[in-house]
Amino acid sequence: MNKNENLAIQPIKFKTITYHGLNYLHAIANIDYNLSKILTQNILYSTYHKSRTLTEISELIGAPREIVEEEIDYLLNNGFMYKQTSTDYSEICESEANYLTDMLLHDFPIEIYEERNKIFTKYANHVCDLYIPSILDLINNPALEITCSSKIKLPIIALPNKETALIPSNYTPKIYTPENDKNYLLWSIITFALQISDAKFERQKKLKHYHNSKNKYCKYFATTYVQKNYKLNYKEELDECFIEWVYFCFPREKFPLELMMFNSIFDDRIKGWDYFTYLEYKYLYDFLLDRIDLLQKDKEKIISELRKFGYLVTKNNTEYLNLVVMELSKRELYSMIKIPEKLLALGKDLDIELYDLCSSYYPNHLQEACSLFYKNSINYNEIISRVLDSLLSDGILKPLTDYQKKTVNMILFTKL
Amino acid sequence: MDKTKSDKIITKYIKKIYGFSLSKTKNIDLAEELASRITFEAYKSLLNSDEIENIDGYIYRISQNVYNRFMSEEIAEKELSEKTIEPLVEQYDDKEDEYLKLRNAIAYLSKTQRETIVMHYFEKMKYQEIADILHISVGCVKWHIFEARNQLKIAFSDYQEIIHKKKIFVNMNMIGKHGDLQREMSFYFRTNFSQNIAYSVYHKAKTATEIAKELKVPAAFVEDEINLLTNHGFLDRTPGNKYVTTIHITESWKKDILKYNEILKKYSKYICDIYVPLLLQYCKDKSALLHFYTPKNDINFMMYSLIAYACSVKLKDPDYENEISKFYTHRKDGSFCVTSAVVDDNKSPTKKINEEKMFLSYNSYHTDIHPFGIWQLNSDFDTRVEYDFYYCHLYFTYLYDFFTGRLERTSSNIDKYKNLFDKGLIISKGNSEIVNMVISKLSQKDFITSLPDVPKQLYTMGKELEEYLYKINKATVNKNQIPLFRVLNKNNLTCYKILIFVLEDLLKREILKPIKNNQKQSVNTIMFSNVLPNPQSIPAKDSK
Repeated sequence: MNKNENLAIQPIKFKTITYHGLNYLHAIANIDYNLSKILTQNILYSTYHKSRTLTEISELIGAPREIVEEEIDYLLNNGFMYKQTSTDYSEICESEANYLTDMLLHDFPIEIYEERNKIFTKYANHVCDLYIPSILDLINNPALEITCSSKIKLPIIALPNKETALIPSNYTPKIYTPENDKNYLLWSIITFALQISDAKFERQKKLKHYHNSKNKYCKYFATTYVQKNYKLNYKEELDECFIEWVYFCFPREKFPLELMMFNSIFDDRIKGWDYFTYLEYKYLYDFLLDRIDLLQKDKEKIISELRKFGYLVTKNNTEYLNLVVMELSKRELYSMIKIPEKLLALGKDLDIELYDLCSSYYPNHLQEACSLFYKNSINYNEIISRVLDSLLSDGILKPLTDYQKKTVNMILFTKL
Repeated sequence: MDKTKSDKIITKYIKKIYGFSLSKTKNIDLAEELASRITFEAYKSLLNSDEIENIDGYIYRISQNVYNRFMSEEIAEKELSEKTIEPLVEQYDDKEDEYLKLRNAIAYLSKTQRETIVMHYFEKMKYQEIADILHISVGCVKWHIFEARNQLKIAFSDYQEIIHKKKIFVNMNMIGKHGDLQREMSFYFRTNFSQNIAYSVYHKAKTATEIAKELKVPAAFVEDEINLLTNHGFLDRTPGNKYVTTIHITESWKKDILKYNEILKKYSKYICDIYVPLLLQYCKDKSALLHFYTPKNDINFMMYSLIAYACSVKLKDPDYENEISKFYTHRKDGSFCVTSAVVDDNKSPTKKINEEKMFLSYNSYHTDIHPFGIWQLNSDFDTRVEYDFYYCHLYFTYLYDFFTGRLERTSSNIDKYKNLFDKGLIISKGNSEIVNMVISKLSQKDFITSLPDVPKQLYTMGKELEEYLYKINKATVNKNQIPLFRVLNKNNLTCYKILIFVLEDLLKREILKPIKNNQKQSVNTIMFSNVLPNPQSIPAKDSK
């Protein structure tokens, strides 16, 4: 049965959508909520492999034109779809416009998923062999000042209208990990190390060419997996992971905070835009700057929210911040643990293998996007999750406690 | 009979029912299906009955009746499956129209029925495989397939009715909230589809399938939307897998919009005659005006905002906040509010915007860094196009930084300056810029206190209007929502339309003068701030 012809009775469903690019959090929450609806997803799917008119889409989906048209307008305005222009004058006069989907859908047969898994696992093993030892060395380096305290003070953050604290030239930036737990820190540092590289920045820049959203608060290229109705012979959840970088919504020069989050099967934090109201980041910011008392009216609510998200934990009557915080910028941390050249070279082989395997499953109009997408795959989330899985199995990473699972694989950088 | 008692009886007889079924059918699969049907019928019957003397006999009679029907249906089933569904599925390429008919009929089945039909007939899965995936028994799978076939039979005969009768969709306008809503209603009700789902279950609870048939949208998409709306508290699930909306919906005066506007205009004239003169006196008081900034000292521009704001706050029923808060409900996203909507009359004289965006009221989160609040009334008097709450607050923080000297003219701030110009919040004056908005140094609370009190006569008129509109509209309100409607019906004198009619009337009377084009982006907006901008233009400070 052709999946595409039976969307009215057997609709497809997307997995978590990844928005590659820099986006205003609230705008993305809005977009993601709308894209979570299967009606919207199926309209996108209907115009993925083949362009269709509004009438055709409406018939395929089985929904009235008015309903479908509303969705198409939204998708056009937010860069998920575009109208095909016709060069034939008579066609322009007489026929309806054709629409095509403008995002990458990973929709493969079972054997391709299995093959992808083998490839990802193979390269994850290369990462474990060639890269992880140097990261372990970093953690164990006595020069690295790892600390914990019940309340962290961050001298580098500047409050508005106040002077920046003078930082002594011999000051060693501190890395805070709750309860001085190096294992917990290692999870986060490995995740960070594996998702960043100079080559990745280049890829992002090139994908930016496809950031065609008319929404001025978002510039992204979207990708996702189409859910399968068959079971795979490996842990599918290893493919369901994504990185988020949160830039706090304030002038960055004055509030230099960046939060990295790798969401995967290894954590159980509250996910999904359903819950996202961005306020929890503001509360975290206020807590770090010791400003909660200034917001007396909302103090209890703020503390309660911070506990709900796992940022604050109470243990043995002591309340502490449950998050890795670094008095570093991400570039500074990256410079300490650069990916080895040998691994980057292997990464190019990975790009070729994946591209050769998968490219034929993408439509013609997205082949260029596909070729850009399958670059620097060594930084892929699928590799990161398999590396973590392998290290956990081998005992290099230890299992996490329940409260650690809320904030694992997150790093707050307090310097730009 | 109550549910607890019925549950106990069924639990007691379930083994006997299965034994009966097995003895009759001599086949485990069929026995499971028969037993599930008998159980269903018996349970339904028990719930609708009074006390029963002879439970044994009662259950036996039901079992026998169901078995008789089952046997005759088994034969008919085979005929239906062989003659109707299977050939269509096999030969769908050849019989496109009939296939489409089948497909559309399947699209309106309930979720489980649809899934079982698709898995069995389209994906050729065996009963056991389907049972494993859906985590139900094989008997239940068969039961669902049987029910689905019955539904398809009906659907085929109603096909013309369902498919070809055009659906008229309502458009909901004025979708708003009362209370603390974390996201705007438009986040959830962007589309006609979601609005119509809510509307379809306003007066009467319906199942997802019933809603799907009404809207002519396949049930799978309706179920998905229903799940989202239910999760966020806009729909409630009721017994029988039905849904009802929690939004308070008012049918607009579709047929009598002119009469409705006439009534509101009458009361807006009372406001202009009785209260506005007091506000005009206030505007002439120079000591009061010391607390305000208006661009180029334009009192006319300031009066638009002042009069609209004063009417929207001073004419409120003093008991309203207390009474409405009793109806607030907690929602998944942390909101605590009541939500409402008006079905669009399609003849609305004002531009189409949602009620929540008519009044923008915002207090900066970081009151020590950006100590300001905003009030704004959106209407045809302005040319604002962007109403998104989260973006608007950003622009006002830029404005505050601008007039407090914190927004340096550096390359990193070019976008912010551009936004301020685009939104009309600053305008050029010579070689520099001035703030193009009304700013108050009084807090909202102090400002409200400083405004002249409303004469009692006007409150009495407000009550009159309230009673009148209540009587007229009561018939269109869901009976369960009458108490809420009573409360929402208060404050008619502060309703959006009346405020606009007041301003229009004052323009006609030439008490207000028309505003200039460059004032139209920021009219009817007040920033409550701790400082006022310098009335002289803020000179450009280029950083070195």
